[in-house]
Amino acid sequence: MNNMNNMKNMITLTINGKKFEVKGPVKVLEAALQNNIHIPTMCYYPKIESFGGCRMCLVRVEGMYRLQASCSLNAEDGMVVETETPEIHVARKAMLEFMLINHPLDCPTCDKAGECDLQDFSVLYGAAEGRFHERKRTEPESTKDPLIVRNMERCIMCTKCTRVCAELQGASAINVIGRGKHTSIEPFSGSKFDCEYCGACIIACPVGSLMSKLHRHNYRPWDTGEQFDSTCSYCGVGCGIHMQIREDGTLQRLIPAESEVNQGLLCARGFFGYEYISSPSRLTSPLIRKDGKLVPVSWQEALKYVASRLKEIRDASGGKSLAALASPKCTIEDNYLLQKLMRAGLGSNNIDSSARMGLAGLRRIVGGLLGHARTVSYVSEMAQSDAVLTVCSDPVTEAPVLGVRVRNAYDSGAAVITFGHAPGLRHHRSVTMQPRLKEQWHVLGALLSAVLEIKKPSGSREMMQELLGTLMLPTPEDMDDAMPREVVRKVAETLATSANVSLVAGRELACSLAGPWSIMVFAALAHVLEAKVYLISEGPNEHGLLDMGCEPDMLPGPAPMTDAGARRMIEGLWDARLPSEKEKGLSLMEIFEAAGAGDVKGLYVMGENPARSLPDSGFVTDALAKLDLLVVQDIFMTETAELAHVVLPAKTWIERKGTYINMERRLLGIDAGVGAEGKEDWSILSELCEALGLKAGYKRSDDVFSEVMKVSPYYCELHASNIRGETCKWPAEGGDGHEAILDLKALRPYLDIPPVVEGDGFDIVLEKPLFLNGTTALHSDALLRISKEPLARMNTALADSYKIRPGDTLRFFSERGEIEIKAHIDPYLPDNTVYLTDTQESAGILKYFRYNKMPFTNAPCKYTQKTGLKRGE
Amino acid sequence: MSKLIDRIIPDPVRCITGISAYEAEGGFRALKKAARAGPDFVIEEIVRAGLRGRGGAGFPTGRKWAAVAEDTATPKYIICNADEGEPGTFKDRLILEKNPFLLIEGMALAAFTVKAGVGYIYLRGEYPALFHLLEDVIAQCRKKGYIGPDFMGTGADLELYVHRGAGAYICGEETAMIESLEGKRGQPRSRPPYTVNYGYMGKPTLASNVETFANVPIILNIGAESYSKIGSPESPGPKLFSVSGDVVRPGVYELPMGVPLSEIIYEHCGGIKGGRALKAVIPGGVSTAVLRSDDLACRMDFTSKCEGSMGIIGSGAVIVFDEETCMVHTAYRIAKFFAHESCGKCTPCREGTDWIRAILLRMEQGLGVEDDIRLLREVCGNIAGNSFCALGDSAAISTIGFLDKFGDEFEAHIKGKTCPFGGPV
Amino acid sequence: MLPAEAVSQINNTLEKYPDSRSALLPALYIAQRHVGHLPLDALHAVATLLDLPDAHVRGVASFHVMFRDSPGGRHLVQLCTNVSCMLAASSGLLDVLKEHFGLRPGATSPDNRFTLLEGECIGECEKVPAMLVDSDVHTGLTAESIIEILARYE
Repeated sequence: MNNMNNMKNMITLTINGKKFEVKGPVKVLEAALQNNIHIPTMCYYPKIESFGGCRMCLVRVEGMYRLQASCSLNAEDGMVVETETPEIHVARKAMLEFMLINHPLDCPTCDKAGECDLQDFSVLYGAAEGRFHERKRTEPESTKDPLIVRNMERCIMCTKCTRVCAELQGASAINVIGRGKHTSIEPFSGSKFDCEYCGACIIACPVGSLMSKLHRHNYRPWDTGEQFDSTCSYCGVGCGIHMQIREDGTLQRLIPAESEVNQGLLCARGFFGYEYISSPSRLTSPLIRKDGKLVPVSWQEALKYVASRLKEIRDASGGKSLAALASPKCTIEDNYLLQKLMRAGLGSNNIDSSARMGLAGLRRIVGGLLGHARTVSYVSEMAQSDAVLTVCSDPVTEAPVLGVRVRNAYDSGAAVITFGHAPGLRHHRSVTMQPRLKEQWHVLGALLSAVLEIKKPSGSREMMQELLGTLMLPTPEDMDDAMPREVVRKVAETLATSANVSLVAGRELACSLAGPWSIMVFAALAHVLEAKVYLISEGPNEHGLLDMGCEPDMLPGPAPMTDAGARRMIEGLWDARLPSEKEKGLSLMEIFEAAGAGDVKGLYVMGENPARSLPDSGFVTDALAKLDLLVVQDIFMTETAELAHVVLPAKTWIERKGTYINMERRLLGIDAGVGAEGKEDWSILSELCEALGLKAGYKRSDDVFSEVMKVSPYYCELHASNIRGETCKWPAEGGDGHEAILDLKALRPYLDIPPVVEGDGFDIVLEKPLFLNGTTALHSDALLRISKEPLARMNTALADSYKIRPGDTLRFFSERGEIEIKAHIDPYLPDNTVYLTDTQESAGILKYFRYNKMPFTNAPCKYTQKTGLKRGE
Repeated sequence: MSKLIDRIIPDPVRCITGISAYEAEGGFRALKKAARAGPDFVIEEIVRAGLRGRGGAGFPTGRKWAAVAEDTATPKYIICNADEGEPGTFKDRLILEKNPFLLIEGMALAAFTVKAGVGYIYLRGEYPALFHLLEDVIAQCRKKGYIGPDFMGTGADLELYVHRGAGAYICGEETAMIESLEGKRGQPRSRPPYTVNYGYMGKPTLASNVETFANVPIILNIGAESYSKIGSPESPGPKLFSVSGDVVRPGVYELPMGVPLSEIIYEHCGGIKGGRALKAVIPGGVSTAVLRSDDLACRMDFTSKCEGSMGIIGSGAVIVFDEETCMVHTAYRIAKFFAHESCGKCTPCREGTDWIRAILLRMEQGLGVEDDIRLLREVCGNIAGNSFCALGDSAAISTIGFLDKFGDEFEAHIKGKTCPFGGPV
Repeated sequence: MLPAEAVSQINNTLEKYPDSRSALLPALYIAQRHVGHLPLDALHAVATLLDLPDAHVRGVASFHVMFRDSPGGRHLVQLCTNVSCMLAASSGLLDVLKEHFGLRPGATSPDNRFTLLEGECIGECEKVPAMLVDSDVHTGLTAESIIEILARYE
């Protein structure tokens, strides 16, 4: 916007006798608020459309014949506004009287008392006398929902809850039901909410009508003692969370913070999923397997044992026989030290993590091709997109707040194209493209061809120019059978003619059966469309973990293993030797393959549960059982921990300090709100480093971070700008950073159009559940209470061909085995595809798949060759 | 001159539902004239005629049409508000029953003038028979090329659809109607933006009442000059009055604007039934304040006012009450209507209209207390001017009107602890 | 939930509107005509067909008196008691309905034949009192005629 326009947008108005200049367009209430004049309101909520219903914000505007609702009145140049006159007070008192005539006045038993707008305004405007002689409206409080208590007697019908649900969250799960005095706020069912449980309605409610059951009758606002700002650890978005701690040191509640990342939004996991910290199944003591059973031991004994066993294996079979899994749920400090322990303490490059299934390969190829700065975009800016293409990703479940921003973009007029299955965007998409699995990536290639017909790539990135010259692509005509060419061309046109395009991809792209070709197609699309790129990381710290060198071929910094300068600097700093750069480390699945073959004898698992979370989990479990030493550092007795020789209890993100790098590559902090048994991961590793003869001596996690800054100039920069309170994402000034410079030569074998791999039967697509996305969620009572039963969803035609009725129990089988699951029929699903709920609860589902390692990235790509189903008995 | 071209309802008995009958009597002449003269001419004529919207607000129609015509956004829509819900009002029903092609001609003129390609007739849910009649009438017009693609060779297109409301008085409010047409709860929108620029689907929209559309062909037929001479200078043209209640001949009367209320009641409707005396008149639907027999000299147009009341013409629904009617009961019945129809969006209307209803019910039942009249006035005062749309205001205006004009009856109910009329509640 | 005929009728109304949400009222009418009333299943079916959130559809249906969430009698009787009909003593007809058919406002007759609503104005004010029985308008009612008319509805 140019200066002229800026000038034109400036509005001078007089409020209560003082002149103010504000930037328009703006409502009078907002203009006042910007100048610290608070006009009382019940129904105004920032970020959503003004409503004008509560009539509390009435003001007098010179020249207008009646009082005006300032929340819905546009400020205009020269306007003269009075916000507190006797006339206005009379009107506000009257509005409060109207709100109170049917209000139960049950403040003593209401959890909202003390932070209730209705209470506060009543005190302010004095609606004290009762002259309503009729019978009050009654409606019993509804406690039928597992998490939300709904009390309609207290409701003053500001409808903020329904409006944030529809306009902000995009869920539209609750609505105003009825008319006039008989209106109430209800979920569709009238009882259970059965919604996304983002909690936005509870936050928006100004009275005690929508309350969280998690602190029902045990929450008093005035009990809040210390408060901390922290970062949710449930996914890669890294939402700001505000922890309220009671005077007695226990957690009172978590509420969304107005951080730059989430701007007050949260998802169910963040809002309701914190009970696991006080779960009775938390590990409290280190355990060592003695006579086949895990028995509690002292920390001293446990750490001494682990150190000596690691040393024994290293000395007997070499560093190659040891491996470690790092964790995106753990902090930068934790992962840095695990990597240091492995490389410098044990001489092994065998370190990898679940990021292998997603971000590791994506950021290497997409970031390498486009430049790493191009691959990180702000979550909040998604809402300003003109067109969004989700590629085999449902951001609503994988990175919920990002998903909500896609919905916001759609509501603001963006074209949203869902490529592949994205049920979370069902009501927020313009076009959906769902080709059969065997050809889906080819269709994406055809889409790129069609885009290239319309739009010529600009920019001077040589690597992209070279790639576009050599990458082989099918035409829309080639793929006509898989997806009508008109659809492909129409979508291409939409994308190519939109100014501000955003692309979203996650693990499905990283694990494409069509190999690196698909990822290159994605990168090329981003390049040609000059799109913002959103690479979803499912863990809170996947970028941080990768930056810390928790990959077989990378050093912290990050820097390639082969970077002689980096090696020298790190060896100097650590006063230790790194394993040879020729020592090719093992990647995620290779570790288990080697364990199965007896080549890896010792495995250190930090905050991961591979026995449940990896494909072909039967094979993984067998491999784990063969290890001579399995050390698991976790907060729960996971399936993996049950196989371990040593189990070390750690602390959760609510109980400790540290740092994460989110999917925006923003440096975020977590803070210790409450105390817990167990040790912080970095401190366990620090002791092990010392026991293995490394210089450690870290007293606090900050000490570890200081060392990280010495290793990584980028972290210095991130840290410095964070301290300055600036928005900072990686790499702050663009460029490629120290990361592996992508060698296009290495990608040359994958430039051809991959062959179409035919399989038998129907396609299997896993649907990620919103509520249960991992082990911590499984120990959160609230999330379990709202989680839905796993389902096999299919359309009517497929169901009919197997004579399946809704609710039938089915037995699915592949070459890897069978699982039982309930059928659900949805006529709007595509043909020949079965959608299985990928709940971590039914671990059977991952057993059902085999995997291929993707060339170049080593990501495990799930597949089955034969699929079938039978009706259960 | 055929009555068809200068009257909205040319024949109170006959229903012109066949297109050839309409054509034979001069139908579509206005449309043909406009097709030759062009859109600007139509707007000029409407402006010169001084036509004001017949839905109740009396907004100058020419300005509205011009505003939609000038907006460059596309597509544009026209919506006919046939959600006639004001109790006592049935004039639009009569237009649609007796002379439906006149509305279609008016809408075709509008589509041609403002360049809207699609139009909807938002029809009251309570008029199911008219739904089928209108669909048939539209089909006839489309077949003959009076609407449809490139209708009458004008280069303009018009597809017309009938959209049935489902029983919500508030949907007669223009912005609530548009919300409802968009498939949302029919609650009024904040203005600005105005419908002419941001109406249906956020596009420029011309929304007018049935009677307003029906006036446009008449203007073109008789010319703005002659039209503007009908009725009073500030509210020219013919007006349909729906007269009901205790008169000898209830019905719809097409009379010049500005006709005195007494003329409607005594000359056209034959006076009060059974030779009884007149007690009260609601002049323009229940949203207008009640009048007493000494107010009957009032002229019925947009600018006339009676002492102590706001505008009186409203929807043109005259409801006449004879001396035996209990005014408390009447006030209660009207309050019950508003409470039932309040959409619930804003606090004063949602809570206040029902509070009024409850107090009036107590009074009518003989359970009123001394302070109730003051309380009632205060509650009304707290609604009036503070509600989101006119519905809350109307409820307050209605109740205050009864208190002002018939305060003695309210006091009698409270003092006597019963309804002196033996009121049925 | 919805018969195929209802689905195709709903799909046909879509062409009248620029978006599917605008077709909600006609779709609800169609669904109610086929199902008799609008239980949650029917609302969900309409929502699915129009690709709208379930709660949105319920919110809209509940806004309108013409949509019923419970089955009620076979015929819906809406007797106007608003001012013009009130003046013609329509409330007396309520007593007739109570005596003769056991019908009370807001309730269903014991034989499940009628559900009665004390209605608002139906725009038949010149021929009072008036009522709607399903989609049929009856005017100028008397105690005798209302019994006779309702007798025709089985």
